[in-house]
Amino acid sequence: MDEFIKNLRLAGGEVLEEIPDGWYVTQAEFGVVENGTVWVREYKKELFLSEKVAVKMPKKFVKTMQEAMELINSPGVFISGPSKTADVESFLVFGAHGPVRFGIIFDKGL
Amino acid sequence: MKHYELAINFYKQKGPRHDKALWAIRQKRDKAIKEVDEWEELREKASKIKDEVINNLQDYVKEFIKNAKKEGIELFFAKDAKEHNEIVFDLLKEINAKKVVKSKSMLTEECGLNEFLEKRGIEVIDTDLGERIVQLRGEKPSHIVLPAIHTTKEEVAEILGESNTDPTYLTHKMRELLRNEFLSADAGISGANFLVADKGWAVVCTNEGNADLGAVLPKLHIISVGVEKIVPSMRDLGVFLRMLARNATGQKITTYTSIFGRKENGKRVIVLVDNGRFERLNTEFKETLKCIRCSACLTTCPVFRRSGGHAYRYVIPGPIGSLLAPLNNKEEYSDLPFACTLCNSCEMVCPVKIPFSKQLVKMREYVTKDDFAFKFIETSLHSPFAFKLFSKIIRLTPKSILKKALNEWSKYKEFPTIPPKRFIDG
Amino acid sequence: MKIALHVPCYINELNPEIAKKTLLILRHFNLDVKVPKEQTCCGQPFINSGHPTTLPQKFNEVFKNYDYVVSPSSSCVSTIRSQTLEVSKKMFELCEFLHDVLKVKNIAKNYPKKIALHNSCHSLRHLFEGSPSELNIPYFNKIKEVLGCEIIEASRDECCGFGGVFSLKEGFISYVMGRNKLDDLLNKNPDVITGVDFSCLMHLESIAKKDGDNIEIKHISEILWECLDETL
Ligand code: SF4
Repeated sequence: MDEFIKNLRLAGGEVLEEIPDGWYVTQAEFGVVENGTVWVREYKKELFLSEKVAVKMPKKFVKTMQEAMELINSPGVFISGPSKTADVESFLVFGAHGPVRFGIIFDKGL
Repeated sequence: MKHYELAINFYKQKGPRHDKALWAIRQKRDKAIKEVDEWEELREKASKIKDEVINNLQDYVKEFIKNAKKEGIELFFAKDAKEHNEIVFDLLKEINAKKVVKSKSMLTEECGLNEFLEKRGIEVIDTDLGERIVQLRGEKPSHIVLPAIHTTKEEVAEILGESNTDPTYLTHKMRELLRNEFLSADAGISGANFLVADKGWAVVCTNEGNADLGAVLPKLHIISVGVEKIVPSMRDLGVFLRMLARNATGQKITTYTSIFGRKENGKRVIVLVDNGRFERLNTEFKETLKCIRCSACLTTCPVFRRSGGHAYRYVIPGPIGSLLAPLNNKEEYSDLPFACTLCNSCEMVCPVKIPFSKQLVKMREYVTKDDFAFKFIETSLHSPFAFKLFSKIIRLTPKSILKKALNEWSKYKEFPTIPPKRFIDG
Repeated sequence: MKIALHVPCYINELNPEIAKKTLLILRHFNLDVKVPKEQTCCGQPFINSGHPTTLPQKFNEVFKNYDYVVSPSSSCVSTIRSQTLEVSKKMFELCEFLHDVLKVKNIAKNYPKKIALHNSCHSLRHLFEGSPSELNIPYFNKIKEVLGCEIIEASRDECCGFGGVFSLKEGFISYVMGRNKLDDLLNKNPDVITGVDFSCLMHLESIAKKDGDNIEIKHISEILWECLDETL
């Protein structure tokens, strides 16, 4: 889990303790340790239109994308941090088109 | 103008900065792939998967079409660029579309879709920030993953009419302008990085989220994609998803890896494009069909880094472009396979192990016309005696003439001294 | 063990000393080395400029009956190795031969000068005499092992811009790449620049001369022979 969180942060993502006001909230099914990405099945426009997106997720992880593929049985989206670009002189900027901030909240218990 | 001339112009203006920026990405890439212990095995796997696909392409296309239809996606097959453009145009006409938002797709560039639609009164907005920058500048992308890598922040500010050159400011400014376009567009067009045959799904990998906005906001989402983008199964997809972003930019994964099936609030259409791909299967360049457009071969190429992508004058520049462009137009692009030192760095980074040095040498042969002088020398060099004769003649030729004959060398470098005696002089 | 010395045609014409030193090095190890007089060119210039050639076949005829063919040029070796000829598997670049077959190392252990090694592309990314930075494999460098002294390497293991026909078609970019390579190496203050490919070294030297850099550039066989000669 530490490795997952490290990689999530590297991609610009945050770990949230509670759901802040004004964030769009949705559910993720699991996380991928090797790159800090989360699998979100519900593909809604708010995921991309909102300034701030939070996903609730269980403490369920797979090591690699190869393992992640075994769990997928419907379309959806892997998300790794906020939307970003480096198109202006290789300078990394968050909030290219989609969210400027992206966080996860682990489900309580377990 | 040919590559060597355009390269001089570019290098003198922007070369060192461009080289440095791309080398930094190459180093990020090295770091990212070295975190994956089984990287070289993944390359081997990826290469085998792609071999399997291109060797049975017809079957995989059929399988994909069948499953995508089952999934609720409308399917078209376009023989060539023209057919592709017409299909897309008809789809847009049906809904009376005035404006489309497009995310990065090398295939639509290959087909010249923007120009085609604009001539017919449909406004096309490129939404990838880098692509939008080059579109506003009236240029083409110079790199397939970093379309505006040749521009400076000052140039970006200029086309936006801004005096502030801060990249964050400029990026958010563009976001604002483009957000309105997204909200008012009638259709979204995107490419796809992969098509999963046994599921009928399309996979799109982006960082900005522009492809997703284009897919989710308008009622119609069109995916234009080359037939070679198929992978057999999700298990195979996993291999590529571990490699693509790491090899392209040194990220562990792109921000969004979207897997598209049926569109919930409208219609999703996939236009599968051949445009010479099936024909290429029967040539010695069929392995170029394995390419996943990660762009690593461009970024690593020491010539590309210094010449810039526009010197290649083709939609796909760099090493892979030097193999694709002459297949598209032999005369026009005959210089490209020679814009290369055969250093083989491209082959080393390629995730699907395209045998670049072999292919580039073959491509040189493909574009080179028979030359009597070469034939004569080649034949003579079979004999040590004739070789010696040539060597004598060269030693008797005044240096000034040799220097002139090898002008591209002498212009920039000292001419080597030729010693009087050879080692084998029998 | 029947060994043949391959004298690359450009070395025969432009720097015959390298062939001589290579021969002396091999003989130093008490090897029976022949220099076939019928050899000419391996065909590389034709292949790389897109012209059909049967010179590799001729090469094969000349060399196929030897156990090993040793060549002081990694680009010729890789040209022959990329063909499927009898001789393909028998041909070795000098340092590769010393390392893999004779298993000698540390020849330049006490070399008094600071050596900068230019890892040429053919040596690194075609023959794998070292680990290219593009791959995820453990670091190694056979040439450094053969030399066995402290070695300076460029911070980027990229091409020096020679590229044979490339240097004649794209003189400017070829020059820029060479200039960048020289700067990279000179930054680390070597006394001498060496490498296994005389073609790259000749290119670098032509630039150094034109631009007025004061640096000694010599082929690896010359350094190796200097060391072996002294111990005699
Ligand atoms: S040829 Fe290989 S390295 Fe180049 S873009 Fe295609 S997949 Fe990437």
